[in-house]
Amino acid sequence: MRTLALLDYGFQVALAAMMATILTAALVIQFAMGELPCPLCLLERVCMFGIGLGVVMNLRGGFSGKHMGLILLFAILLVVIATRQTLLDIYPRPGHAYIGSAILGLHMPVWSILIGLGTLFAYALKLTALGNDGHLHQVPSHYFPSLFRIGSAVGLILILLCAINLVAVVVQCGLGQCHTEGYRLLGDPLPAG
Amino acid sequence: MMVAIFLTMLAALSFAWARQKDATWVAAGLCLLLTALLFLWEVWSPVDGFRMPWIDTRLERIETKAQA
Repeated sequence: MRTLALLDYGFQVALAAMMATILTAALVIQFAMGELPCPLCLLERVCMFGIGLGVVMNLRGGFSGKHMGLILLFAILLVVIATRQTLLDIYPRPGHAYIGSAILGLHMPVWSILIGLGTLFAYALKLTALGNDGHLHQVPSHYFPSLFRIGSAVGLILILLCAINLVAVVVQCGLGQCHTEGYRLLGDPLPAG
Repeated sequence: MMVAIFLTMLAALSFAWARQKDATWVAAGLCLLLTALLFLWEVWSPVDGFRMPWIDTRLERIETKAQA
């Protein structure tokens, strides 16, 4: 029972840490390489934060199947948004092309599909291997102090990353529609019309 | 709208970390709803609606284009 719970919490902390790493990389690309995120890219980031949110709820507030449902909802929304964005830009035409640099040959929306599908696949695999998570009701996360501290730290990192994203969105979009031509509050040019 | 989405997500994460369950659910639900709505608004076009004619693969249209 204790080993199963340890594996389960370990899986969840790893999932949240992976989301934090991806979101950190997105911020580095945005600020170091000057590539502004498009509106759908920003919504994909929100979905990745949502996956991390479910994990933080499980670790800090006690396990619930509802939290797992929230993680799966955000993962499905991530796949839907990323797939639609990929289909929007898959046929280059005026005003539509993949935004930003390709990483290992794939652009961000394609990576987002893989991240969303990877999350769903990992959860399906975990449910198959570890069962229905009933053991987590009997073994709270603070039974594993090191893992609990790591999970809490990852939660804090996610909060910090979300705060940085919020400030960046305010500077890029103001209170209006987001564009990728420049930072609105810094006086960068906006598209005509 | 995007600012509201990130604001609700930041609130949800903060509430979750502080173990405020009800507040977390309200913020998370609001964030999920706003995200879905903004997504639909972003992909809707006055000309095409939600359709994607640039990936239309119906044979008769391809033939018509080829003849033109």
